[in-house]
Amino acid sequence: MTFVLLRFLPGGPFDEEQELPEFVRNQLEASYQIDQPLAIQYISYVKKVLRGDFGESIAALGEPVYKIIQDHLPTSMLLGGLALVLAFLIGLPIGLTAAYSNNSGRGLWDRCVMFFSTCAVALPSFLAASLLVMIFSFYLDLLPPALWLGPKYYVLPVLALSLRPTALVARLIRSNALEVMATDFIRTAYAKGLSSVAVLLRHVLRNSFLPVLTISGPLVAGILTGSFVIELIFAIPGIGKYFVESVVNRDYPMILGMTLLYSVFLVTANLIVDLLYGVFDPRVRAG
Amino acid sequence: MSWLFNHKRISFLGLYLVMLFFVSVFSTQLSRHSFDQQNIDAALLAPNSTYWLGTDDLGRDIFARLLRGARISLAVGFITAFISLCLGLFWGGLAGWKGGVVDRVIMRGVDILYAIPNMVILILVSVSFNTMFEFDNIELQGLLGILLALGLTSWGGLARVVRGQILQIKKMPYIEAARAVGASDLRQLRHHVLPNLWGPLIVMLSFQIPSNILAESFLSFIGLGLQPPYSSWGVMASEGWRTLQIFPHLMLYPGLILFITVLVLNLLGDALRSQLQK
Repeated sequence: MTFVLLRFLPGGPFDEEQELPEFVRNQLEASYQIDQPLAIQYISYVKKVLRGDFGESIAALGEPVYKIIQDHLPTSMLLGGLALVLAFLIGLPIGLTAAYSNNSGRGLWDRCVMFFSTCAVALPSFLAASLLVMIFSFYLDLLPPALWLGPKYYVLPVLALSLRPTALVARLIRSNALEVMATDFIRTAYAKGLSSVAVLLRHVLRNSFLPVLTISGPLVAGILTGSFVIELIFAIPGIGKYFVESVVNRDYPMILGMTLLYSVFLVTANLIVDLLYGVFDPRVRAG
Repeated sequence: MSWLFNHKRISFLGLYLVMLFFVSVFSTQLSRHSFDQQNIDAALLAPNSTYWLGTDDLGRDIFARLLRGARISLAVGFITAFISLCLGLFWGGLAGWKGGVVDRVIMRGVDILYAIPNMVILILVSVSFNTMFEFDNIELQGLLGILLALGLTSWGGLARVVRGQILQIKKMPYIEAARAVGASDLRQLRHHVLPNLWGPLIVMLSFQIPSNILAESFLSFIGLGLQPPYSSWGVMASEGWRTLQIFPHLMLYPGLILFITVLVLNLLGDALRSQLQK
C-alpha cells in the first residue's frame, strides 16, 4: 500500500528536471538569471519553490505567480469540483439503473443510456458548450452565456464540463454492475428476500464502485483538461485560462509554477484515490 | 483476419473511414476553392451552389477547409497511434520480457508520465518543439509539433498493456517449448509473442486514435496547435465560436464532423473489442 503511494510522488520534482532544459535558451532571452548555468538555475528555483516563491510572472508585469494562482485557483476548483460531483451524482444512478434494466428483461432504458453515453463520450467539449449556450442562452434566454458572477452563471459551464465524465462513470458502473449481478452473492441476496433497491444499493453498487474509483484519477485529469477549453469559451477567470495564456505568451515562471501546481494536484488526487480504496474495500487494507 | 470484414457493423463504420481517407487525400481536387483563399466580398455566406457549406468571416470556403481539416485529423490520429505503438511496444515489451530491475525502472517511468496531466505535457512539448525547430512550412511545423507531443504522451497505457500481455504469454507452454528447442529471444518474440499480442493492441489503438484526434482539436481550439491560416477542425471551431450567436454554422460544421468521426472510431473500437472477446 505505502509502496503504491510512494511511487506516485516523484512526479512533482522529476518533471521539473525534464522541462527546464527546454526553457533555458528562452529564459536567457527573457534576461532571467542570464549568466547562471542550468544546474544552478534549477537549484535556486527549487529552493525558491520550497519557500513558496514561484517567481514573478513576466507577462503580468512582475505580479508574483503565487498571487495569480491564489486569485484564480478557487474559481477553477469550484468549476472542476462541481463538475466532478455532478458526474458522480448523475452517472452512478444512471449506470446502475441501466444495468438493472438490462438485467430485468426489457432493456430499453439501458439502450437509451448506452446510446447517449456513447455520443457524450465522442462529443468535443467545445461543441457541447456551444450547443448548451445556443439552446439555453440564445433561444430560451434562461441562463447567461458567459462570465462567472453567481450560481446562475455556473450552470452551463459545469454541465458542459461534466458531460463526458458523467458518461464515462455511467458506462463503467453499468458494465461492472452487470458483472456483479451475475455473481452468486447477488442471487443469495435476492434469495433471502431483499428488495431489488436494497440489493442494488447495498450489494451491487458497493462492489462495482471500486473500478470507478480507479478511473477517478484520470477523470480528474480529464476535467482539468476540459477546463482549459470551458474556461476559454465561457470567459471564466480560472487558472486554466491563465495557463493557456502563459504558454502563448511564453511566460516561463508562470508555466513552471502552473505545471508544478497541476502535477502536485494530480499526485494528491491519486493519493486520495489510493487511500479511498481502503475505505471502500476492506480487503485492500491488509496489503 | 476474415472476421474483420464479414462483420456488418464493422464494415459499415469502416466505410466512413475509407471515405474520409479518400476525401482527405483528394481534398484539393474535390473542391473548386482553395482552403486559404480569401474573398471578402463573399464573406459569411449561407450554403449555396458556389460555396457548398457557405463561407467564413474571411470569405474562405468552409467545405474546402473541412476537407483540409480531415487531412490533419486523420494524419494526427493514425501517425500518433503508430508512434505510440512503436514506443509502447518497445518499452512495454522490454519491461515485460526482461523483468526485474529493467521492468521496475521502465514502469516507474510510465507511472511518472501518468502522474502529470497529459494536456500539460502536451502543451509544453508542442510549444518547446516550436521554439526549438523552425520549418519553412508553417503548417508542417504545427502538425509535427502536435504529432510529436501526442506520440510522446500517449504510449504509457499501451506499454502497460503490452507488459501485462507479455507477462501472461511468457508463462504459456508454447514459450517453454520454444525455449526448450533452443529458440533465441528474438525468434521467440517474433514468432510466438508478437502474434499473440495483436488482439488487445488493436483494440487499444482503435480507442487511442479518436482520443488523439480530439486532443488535436483541443490544442488547436485553445490556440496552441495549428495556427489560423491553416485549417483543422479545431482551428475552424475556435474561429467559429466567437461568432456563435449570429453565425452558428461556422462552429457547428467542424464540431459536428469531429463528433461524427470520433463517434465512428469509438464504435469501431467497441465492435472490434466485442469481436475479439468472442
